[in-house]
Order: sequence, then C-alpha cells, then structure tokens
Amino acid sequence: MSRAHISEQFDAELNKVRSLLMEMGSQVELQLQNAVRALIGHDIELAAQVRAADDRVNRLEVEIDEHCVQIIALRQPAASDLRTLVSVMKASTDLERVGDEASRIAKMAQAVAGMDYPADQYRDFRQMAELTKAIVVRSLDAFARQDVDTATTVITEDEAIDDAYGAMVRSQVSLMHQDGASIDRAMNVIWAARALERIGDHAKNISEYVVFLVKGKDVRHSAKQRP
Amino acid sequence: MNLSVTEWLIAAALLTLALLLGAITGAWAAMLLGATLIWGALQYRELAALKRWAERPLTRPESRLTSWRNLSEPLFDSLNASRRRTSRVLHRFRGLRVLIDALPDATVIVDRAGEIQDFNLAAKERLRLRDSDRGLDLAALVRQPDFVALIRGTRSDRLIEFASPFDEECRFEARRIVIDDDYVLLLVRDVSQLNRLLTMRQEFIANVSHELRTPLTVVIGYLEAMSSDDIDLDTLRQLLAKLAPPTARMRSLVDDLLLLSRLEASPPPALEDLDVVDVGTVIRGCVAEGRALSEGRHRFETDVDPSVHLLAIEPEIHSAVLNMVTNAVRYSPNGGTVRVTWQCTADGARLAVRDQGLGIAPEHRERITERFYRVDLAKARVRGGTGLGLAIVKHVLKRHHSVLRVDSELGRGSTFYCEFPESQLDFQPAPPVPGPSGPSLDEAAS
Repeated sequence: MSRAHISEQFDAELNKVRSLLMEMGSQVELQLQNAVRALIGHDIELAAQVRAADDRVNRLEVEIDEHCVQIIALRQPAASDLRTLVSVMKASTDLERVGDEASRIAKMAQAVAGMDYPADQYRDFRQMAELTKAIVVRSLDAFARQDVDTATTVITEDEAIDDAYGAMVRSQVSLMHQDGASIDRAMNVIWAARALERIGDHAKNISEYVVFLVKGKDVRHSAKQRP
Repeated sequence: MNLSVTEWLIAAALLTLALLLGAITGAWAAMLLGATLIWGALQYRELAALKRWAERPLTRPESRLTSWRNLSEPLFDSLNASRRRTSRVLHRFRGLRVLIDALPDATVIVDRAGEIQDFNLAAKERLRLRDSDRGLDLAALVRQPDFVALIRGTRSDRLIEFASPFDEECRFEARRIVIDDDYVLLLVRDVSQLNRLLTMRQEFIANVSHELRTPLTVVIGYLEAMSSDDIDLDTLRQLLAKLAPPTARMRSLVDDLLLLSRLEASPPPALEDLDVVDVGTVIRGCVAEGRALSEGRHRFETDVDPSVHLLAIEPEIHSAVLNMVTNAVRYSPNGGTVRVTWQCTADGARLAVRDQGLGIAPEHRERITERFYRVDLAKARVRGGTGLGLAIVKHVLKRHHSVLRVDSELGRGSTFYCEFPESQLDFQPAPPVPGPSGPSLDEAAS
C-alpha cells in the first residue's frame, strides 16, 4: 500500500510514525502482561514497575501526535496517506488508554497483594487475561500487516471478553455472598476484570482502524448490520 | 551474411528460369517479379519457422537454409549455456536455503529501516513470521520493547535477553550483527532450557551452602566456648562430645554429594563390571542399619526371594536400598512397620520398601527426587537426612536401567519401588535350608 512518493522524505516520515506506534504497542503489551502477572502472583514490586512505566507510553503518544500534526500541516496528505495518519493517531489514543488500564490492574495488584490467595488461584481472571492479551496482540498484528481478515475476526471476538467479564462478575458476587471476608479482594478483582474488558474494547477499536485504513470504510458502530 | 552454395544455386536456378520463361513469353518483368516473389516466400518460410521456435525455444531450431541456420544455432547454444548457468545458480541457492533453514537459531535480515528482507524457518516458527511479511517492519511484528530497541540499534549492547512476546514461559536471547552499510542480521535463540539449568545450579549451590552452614555454626559455637580461659577438663570433654553429631552430619552430606556427583558423571557401568549381587544380604544389612537408626521405634519386615540375584554394582545398590530404608524410618511415626520386599514378577524382579508414614501428596511426588527438595521444610531438620537420599536412589537406578516409582496415600504411607528386567537377574539354585521359601517374618527386637 505504501507506494513510493516523489519525496522520499515523506515516506520516511510516514514510516517513522508507524514504527513509533508499534514501539508504543510493544510497551503496552508488556505492561499488560506484567500487570496481570503482578496481580496473579501478588507481586508488589512488578506492579509498581508497571505503574512507573506508564509514563513512557504517555510520552510516546505525545510524540506520535506531534509527528502526525506536523506531517498533516507540512505535506497536506490525501487518500491513503491521510488515512494512515488518522488511524495512527486514533490507535495511539487507544493504546494510551490500554496503558492506563494496565496501570489500573497494577494498582489492584498492589491492593490484593497483602490479602490471602483465593481458593481458585484467580483461574477465571487468568483465563480472561489470556483472551484479552491475545486480542491486543492480534489487533496490533493486524495493524502491522494491514490484515483486514484478522482485524474483522478480532472485532467479533471482543464479545468473548464481554461474556467472560459477565461470568467473572457473577462468580465474584456469589463468592462475596458465601464469604463476607472475601469482599475486599473480590471487589478489586472485579475492578481489574473491568479494566481487562475495557482493554478488549480498545483492541477492537484498533482493529476497526485497520479496516478503515485498508478499505477506507468506517466500520464503527455498525457491527449489527454487517453480514 | 554470406549465402551458402545451395542458396546460390536456388537463386541462380530461379533467375535462369525467369530469364528462360521471359525469353519464351516475352513478359520479362512479370517473370522476374515472380522469381523474386518465390525467393521472398522461401525466406519468409524460414523467418516464420524461427519465430515459431523463438516462442518455445526448447529443442534445436530447424532452419533449412544455411544462412538462417547460422543465425539460429548460435542463439540456441548461448540460450542453453545460460540455462545451465541458471540451473547451477539455482541449485546452489537451494542448497544455501536448506542450510539457512536448518540453522536452529531464528535468523532475520533487515535493512537499515528495520524492514524484513529475508528469514529462515526457525524465524517463521519462533518469531511467528509469514512469507508475506517481507518488507514489513520487524519491530512491528515482534513487539517487545528491548527487542525493538535492539532492531533500531538505539541501545549500546548487541546482545539482549527477553521474555518471548508470544509465550511468557519462553526466554529469548537476541544478537544484532551489522553485515554492511545496508543490512543487519538478527539472531534469536531460545534460552529457556539454559536458564532453567542455571537457576537449578544456583539453587543447588545455595542449598548446599545452607545445609553445611547449619552444623558448621554449631561447631563454631562450641569451639568458641572451648577457647575460654577458665574451662576445666570435664566441661571440655563434654563439649568435645557435642562436636561429633554436627561434624558427622557434615561428613555424611559431603559423602552424599560426592557419591551423587560420581553417579552422575560416570557412564552407565559396562556388563563386565557388574557384580552378582545377593539382594537379600544387602537388604538384611540395610535393615540392620535402619534398626539402629530407629532405636526400637519401628517394626521391620522383610520378604526376600533368595534365589534371585541382581547384576549390579554392589555398593551402589547398597546405598540405594539403605537410603530407601532410612527414609522409611525417618518419615514413619513411632510404631510403624517398614516392609522391604524383593520378589520375582512376571517379567523381572521388584524391590519395594513400604512404610506406614505420612504419605506424599500428588503435587510433591514429581519433585521428591530433586536434590534438597523437602515436602515440609520446617520439619526436615528434625527428621535428619541430607536431603540427597532419593536423588541418589534415582541416579543409581537410572544407571541400572530402572526407575524409582512411588505409590502413596496421604496419611497412610508410601511404597517406593523399582523393577529390574529379567536380563539383569541371575537365578541361583534355591538354598537347601530352611524349608519352604515363604516370607520370612523378622521382627524388631525389644
């Protein structure tokens, strides 16, 4: 899709913002993975590390925005170049949010670290986290490969996370009914699960930008109409 | 182009015919034109044949006229030569491709911008790359912050280790090698196994030091007490006697360590090095030692088939049986029975030590043969033992083509057993005495 421009400089600039976005993606993926590990393993240190590193993600978002705005101002891009810039900017916003949600999970990890281990060893949470991580990875893969097929499956798979979230809330609530002492931990776990669910939504958004980027078609808010 | 003799003849014949017919009919011009047309048609036929050949130049071209053949033959030859060259190059290229794909390390070549140029099979598997990924940004596909920095060359070290972004359990080691001004080679190696080994070694060293330090601290404490000036001979004797247990403990630990490292380092014994071991005698000896350790707190039973001997290295089998018996004593409550059996089975013989002890929970069963692995760390000190016993048993049995197995029920006791194939047994004629070869019950004294 990246036909060469007369100005090689322009190509280099576009590649730069794309690679910055992917760098941000790599950071965010690691944040998410570490946050989940910190919560499951009651690892306060790792959790603190995750929260501290969120700053790096935020800085990358600012940097991407600056680059994009500069390109739009100087080059007045059209068609696929413009779509690239718009989708990179939007995706970076979503990635930044994913970073925030990962920090939130890390915060919950710090809160539950002092408590007893639950009987189920966070089995439900672990499963949901696996689903979420996979969907983030796949949406970024789709962005890197400009792969509409993967992107469209990710968009539909987001529902699985929503279902898992519902199931988690129900199981935690019944846990709270049985054992009043578990309320503290269960609340925190629900918050963390909520963060995962939001991360799934952001991943879905990123996949939607991939479709927009490649096909020039806006598929947001049209999930029900699609065949 | 020089025309050949046949072509001269054809031309001359045509011309003569035209002139002759011209002389007869008087239509000179028409006749000459006709001859020229025939000549042209002949040439055109050759041209068409060459064109047909050029579309599929696989066989030798069939030019009838020599001047045309002079053109088409060299064409065909040079075409063939270039075909041979191409196939040679292709052959070498395929060979290189096979070689690169056979490399166990994921190998990727990227250009200065980080775009993938080429990669091998291992990279496809380990880094999940696809054939269609050539030309894409490698950092966008293998997203791990340290690896991204390595690809971009924004960090000074050219060797990094990181958790695989595809599998948290996997550790990768990546190396960046600059090929020339335009290309960079990235090698990614799976070091999970190596890391596990390193961790195991560190743990082992930590454990050994810890096990040695505890008795050593005791010894140092007594030595300090002894070195005070106003100490009388009686107290000194008492203190000296107290030095014996910790030093004995250290010695047994060092002995076990040496035995274990010898077992691990030496190759499996050759057939001619094996003794014919009378397992019954070995068991009797070990049970006697177990009885001494038990100090009358346990009952012992043995059920031995004296006619079955084992081809093995006697001292090793002795230490294996001894470790199994002393373990049974250590992990059984007072009054428990330790039963040692050596019996024929359908396809060999089976050695078993059963206790009525604590039993081993399933999650520990896999790991109890690891060095210094303790099910209950807090009580390990009280029970004694070096923590190496089952590791020794495991290695002895491995050297004798057998495996240590455990049946256990929590709170009811455990049976440690192993089986030897028939090829490793030696059947002695049954001893003449004492009556039927039934189980000989043998109770602890006191």
